[in-house]
Amino acid sequence: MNARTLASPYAKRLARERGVTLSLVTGTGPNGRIVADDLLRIVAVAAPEPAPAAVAAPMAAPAPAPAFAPARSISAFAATIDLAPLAAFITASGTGLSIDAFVIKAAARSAGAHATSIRWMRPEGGAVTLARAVALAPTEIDRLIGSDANVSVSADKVMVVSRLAAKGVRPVAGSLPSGVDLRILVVASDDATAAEALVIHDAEAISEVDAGSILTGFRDLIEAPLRLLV
Amino acid sequence: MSAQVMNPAIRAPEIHNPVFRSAPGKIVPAGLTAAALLELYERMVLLRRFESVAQTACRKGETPGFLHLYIGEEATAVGVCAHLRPTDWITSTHRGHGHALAKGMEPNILMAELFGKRDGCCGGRGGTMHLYDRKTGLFGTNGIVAAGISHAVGAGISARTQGKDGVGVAFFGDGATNHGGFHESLNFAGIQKAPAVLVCENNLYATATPLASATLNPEIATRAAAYGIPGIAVDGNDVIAVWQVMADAIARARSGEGPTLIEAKTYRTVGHHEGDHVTGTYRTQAEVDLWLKRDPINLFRARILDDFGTASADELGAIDAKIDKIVAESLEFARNSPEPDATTSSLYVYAEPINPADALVQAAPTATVTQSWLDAVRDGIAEEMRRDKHILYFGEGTGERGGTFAHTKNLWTEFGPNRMVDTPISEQGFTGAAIGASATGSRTIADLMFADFVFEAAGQIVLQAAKLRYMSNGQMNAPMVVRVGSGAVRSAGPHHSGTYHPSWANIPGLIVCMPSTPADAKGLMKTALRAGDPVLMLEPKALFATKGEVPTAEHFVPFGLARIAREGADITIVAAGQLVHRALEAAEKLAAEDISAEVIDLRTIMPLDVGTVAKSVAKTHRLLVVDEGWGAFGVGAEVAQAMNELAFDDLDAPVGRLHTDPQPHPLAPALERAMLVDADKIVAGAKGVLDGKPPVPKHWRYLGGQSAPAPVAVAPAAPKAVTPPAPAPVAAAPVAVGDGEPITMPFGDLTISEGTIVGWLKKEGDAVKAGEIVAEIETDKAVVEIEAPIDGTLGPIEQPKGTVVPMGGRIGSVRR
Repeated sequence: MNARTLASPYAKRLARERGVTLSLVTGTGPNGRIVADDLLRIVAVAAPEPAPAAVAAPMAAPAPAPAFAPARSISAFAATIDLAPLAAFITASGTGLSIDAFVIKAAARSAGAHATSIRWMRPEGGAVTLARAVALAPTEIDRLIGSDANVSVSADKVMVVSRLAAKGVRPVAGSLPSGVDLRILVVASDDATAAEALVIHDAEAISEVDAGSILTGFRDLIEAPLRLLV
Repeated sequence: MSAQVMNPAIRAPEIHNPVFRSAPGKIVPAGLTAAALLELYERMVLLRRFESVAQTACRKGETPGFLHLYIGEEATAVGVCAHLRPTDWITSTHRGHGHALAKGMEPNILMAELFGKRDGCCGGRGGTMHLYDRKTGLFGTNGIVAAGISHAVGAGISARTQGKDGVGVAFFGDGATNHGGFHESLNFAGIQKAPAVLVCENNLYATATPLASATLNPEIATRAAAYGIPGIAVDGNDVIAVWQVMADAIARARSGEGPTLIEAKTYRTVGHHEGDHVTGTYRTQAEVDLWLKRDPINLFRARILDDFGTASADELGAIDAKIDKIVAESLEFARNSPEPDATTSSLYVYAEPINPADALVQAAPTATVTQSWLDAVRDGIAEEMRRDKHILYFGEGTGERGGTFAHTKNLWTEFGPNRMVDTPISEQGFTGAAIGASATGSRTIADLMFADFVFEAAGQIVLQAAKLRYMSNGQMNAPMVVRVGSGAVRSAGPHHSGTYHPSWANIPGLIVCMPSTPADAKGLMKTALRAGDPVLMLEPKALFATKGEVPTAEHFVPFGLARIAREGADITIVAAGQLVHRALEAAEKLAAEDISAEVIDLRTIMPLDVGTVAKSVAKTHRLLVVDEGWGAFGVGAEVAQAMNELAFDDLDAPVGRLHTDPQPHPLAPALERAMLVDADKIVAGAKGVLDGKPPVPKHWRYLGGQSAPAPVAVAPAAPKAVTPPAPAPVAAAPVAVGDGEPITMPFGDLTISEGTIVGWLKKEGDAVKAGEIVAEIETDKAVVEIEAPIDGTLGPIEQPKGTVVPMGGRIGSVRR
C-alpha cells in the first residue's frame, strides 16, 4: 500500500509550479511532511521565488521589446490590476478624485528609494514633477497635478508615471527618457474596472527582481487602497 | 431585652395609590372639544378593528411569527399619544401595534409588516415586535421587556441637547417594573430631569404571572417616589382620564420639569399572544367578563352619546364604517405586497460603506507631538465634541472628577455637565439612554470604565444597538461609542482584567476596536465618532501610561485596516492591543536568532483585515496569531480559518495561536503571569510554527489527551519582582543612596506608572516624624503626598524636584 505523501499546501503549490513529483521528495518536516524548503533545496535557484510578473500577469505578455536607446538594458513587466476596490474607495470617500492621484501615490510608495520624485505626464501634454509624492495626501496630489504651477524640481532619481485613457489595449513596451531609470505606464479608461500596468526600467540601475516587486507592490496598493492611507 | 420584641419602626409600609378617573357628568372636560372626542374615538376604533382583522389573519396562518394583541387596552395608547407630535419619540413593547397606530403609523405599512412583506414599515425585517417608523416617531416596539424605557429617556435628552422641546415616551407593562431596565431608567431620567413620560400599562399579568405574586408593592405609581419623580395611577380604560394625566405629564416634560411615571390600570381581554388561551390557568372567565363590561371603547361611546351628547349614534357608526374600510384596505395591501427580495436579506447590518467618508480622506501630513495615550484620545474626543455640539459623554465619574483613569480630564470644564453627563452606576440604564440619544440625532459615548462591566449593558448593546439598523430596515441606527479600559494590567483581578473582544466581534452590527498606539487610539476614536454603527472601543489599560507620536492635525484611522508594525520574511505574527508590544519584543528576540518575524497589528477586530494577513502569509508562509482574548472560538481560530480560505496554498506550516489561558484572571502576580501571553511564549510559539508544530491549546476540554504537547516557553528563572509596565524613566545621574529607611513613590493606581516630584517639603537634615509629609509627587491623576516612613532625620534626598520617578521608585531615605 502506498503511504500518503505528506506535504504542506505551499510545498504542493511549489511542486505543481515546478513540475516536481512530490513522492520523489524527502520531507524534513514533522512526520516526514514535505515543506517548502525541501523543494527549494532541490530545484535550481535559477527560478527566483515567485517571479512577480509571471505570477501577476494573467495575459501572456510578449517579451518586452527593447526601447529606443540601444545602449541601455531596458526591461519591462506587465500586470493586470483590479480597479473595483479603488472605485469603491473613491466613492466612499466622497472626494470625487480621479484615479490618477492614487496611481501617483501608489507608484511613489512602491518605488521606494528608487525614486525621489515623480514626473507625471499629463495626457494633454506637459508634465508636473512632484517631490516626495509618497508623503502627500491624494487630495493634495490631485490639486498639484491639476494646477498650472509647473514646479520644476531637480532630483537625481525621477520616476515617470502616466496614464493612457484607452480601452481594449495593453501596453507591451514603453520608452524610458534619458536620465530616467523607472517608469510606470497605466492603461485604463476613466470608467475602467481593470487597468493594465507596465513597469519599464533600466536593468543596469534597477534589478529585475526589484522591478518585479515594484510592480507587485504597486498592484497591491491600488487593489487595497486603504493601505495608501497608512 | 427579649429578641422577640419587634422594633415598631420596622414594619411593612401602607401603600396608598388613589386611581385618577375622569369626572362623571355632562360637561366636556377642559381642553377637549367635540371634535377632539371624536378623534379619540376614531383612533381607538382603528386600534380595535385593525387588530381584530390581524387576529383573523394570524389564525389563518397569514402572519409569520408571534402576534401579541392590545385588545382591551386601547384607551391608554390613544389618550397618551393624542398629546404627541411626530417629532416626539415613543418606545413600545411586544404588544405594540396599538402604540404604532396611536402614534400615527399608516395601517397599510403596519399590516404589511405583520405579514412580513416588502412594503411593511421595516420591509419585513422587523415584524410585530420590532416595528420602527422614523416618520411618525416610533422608536420601536420591542421583543425585550423593559428595553425601550431607557431609549425613550435618551431620546428626550437628545431633543434637549438639540435645543428642541421634543419628548421621549416609554410604554411598558407591569412585568417590566421588576426589571433593572425600569429602575435604572427611571432613576437616570429623574436625576437628569429628562424630558420623558414613562407609561406603565398595568394589565395585571406579566404573561401569566400575576403582579401581586411578583412584588409586595403592586401599586406601581407609588414606586416613582423611589426616584424622586411624580407618579400617578389612572384608570387605563378611561381615555379621558388618561388624556388628562398625560396633559400634565407632557407639560412637565416639555417645560423642563422632568419625567413623570403614569400607571395606567388596564386589562387585555385576549390571551397573552394569539394561540394562548384567553383565561389560561392564571385568571378566571369571571374576571375577564368583568373587564369586558369596562371595555374602553364601549365606555367612551356611552359617554359621548349619553353624557356629552356631542355626537349621534349615526355619526359614530359612520366612523366605524370608515375605519372598517381603512382596515380592509390594509389587509388587501398586505396580501398584495410582494415578498421581500431574498437577495437583500443581508442588507442593513452595517453602514455601507462601513467607514465614514472623513476617515477615507487623508489629511495632509503634519507634524507630530509626543503624547500619552489618554491625552491623545481625550484630545480626539474634545476635537469631535467641539465640531459636533450634539456629542454627549455618559460615564461614571467622568464629569468633574475627570474619570477613573484621568481619561476625561478637563472635558467637564470645557463642555459642562449637560454634555459630560455623570451617571449613576447603571450601565444598562445609561447605555440604553445612549442608544436612544444616538439614534435620534445626538451621538453618545457610553463610558463603562472596565471591559468587564460591558456585560452589565450587554442586552442593550447586543439586542438593541447592534440590531437597530437591521430591524428598522435601515431607517434607524445607533452611532454610539462604548468606551472601556480593557485587558490585564498588574493584578487587576477577576473582575477588572478581561477584554472579551471575541464575544463582541461575534455580534453582527458591532464594530470592535483594539488599538495599540496613542495615535491609533485617537484616530480610531475620531473615526468612531463619525461612523454610523455602534463601536466598542477597547483601550488596553496597560497602555494608558505609554507615549507615542500623534499627528497634530485631524487624524483618522479607518476601521478594518491592519498596521504592519514590523516587516519580516520568515513568519507573520498577528496581534492586537497590548500584545502588539509583546509580539514586537518577541520579534526582536527572534531576530537575535536570525529569524525574521513580521508583526501585524490588527487595530480593529471587527472589521478584521484578513487581506493584509493573507498578503503577509503569501510572503512568509507561516503564521502565528497571538491574542489577549480567550482562545476558544477566538481571534486565533478566526484568522487561521481565514487563511485556510484565502491563503491555503501559501501555508507551509499549520497556523499557530496563543491566547490568554482559558480561566479567570487571578490576583496573585505569579498566577497571573502564568496565564498571560508574554514575549517568551510568543518566541516559543513562533519556533513551533517554524518547525511545523504549532502550540496546541487545551481549551477544548475534550476527553482524551492532546495529540502533541504544546511547546512551552523556557521557564523564566527566578520570579520577577513586580515591575511597572513602562521602562523606568529615573534620572540618569547616579546619586548618593542613603543607608536609612527608604522613601519611595507609593504603588497606587494600576494604570499609572510614574510621577514627577513637585517638591520636597523638608530639607536634608530636618527631623521628621513617621507619617509626616516630606514630598509631593504629581501623577497624571493626582498629587500624591509622600510620607516619612519612620521618625528620624531626612537624608540624603536622592531624587530632586522635577525628577520623573517610577511607581515604587526610591526618592530618598530617613536615618533613624
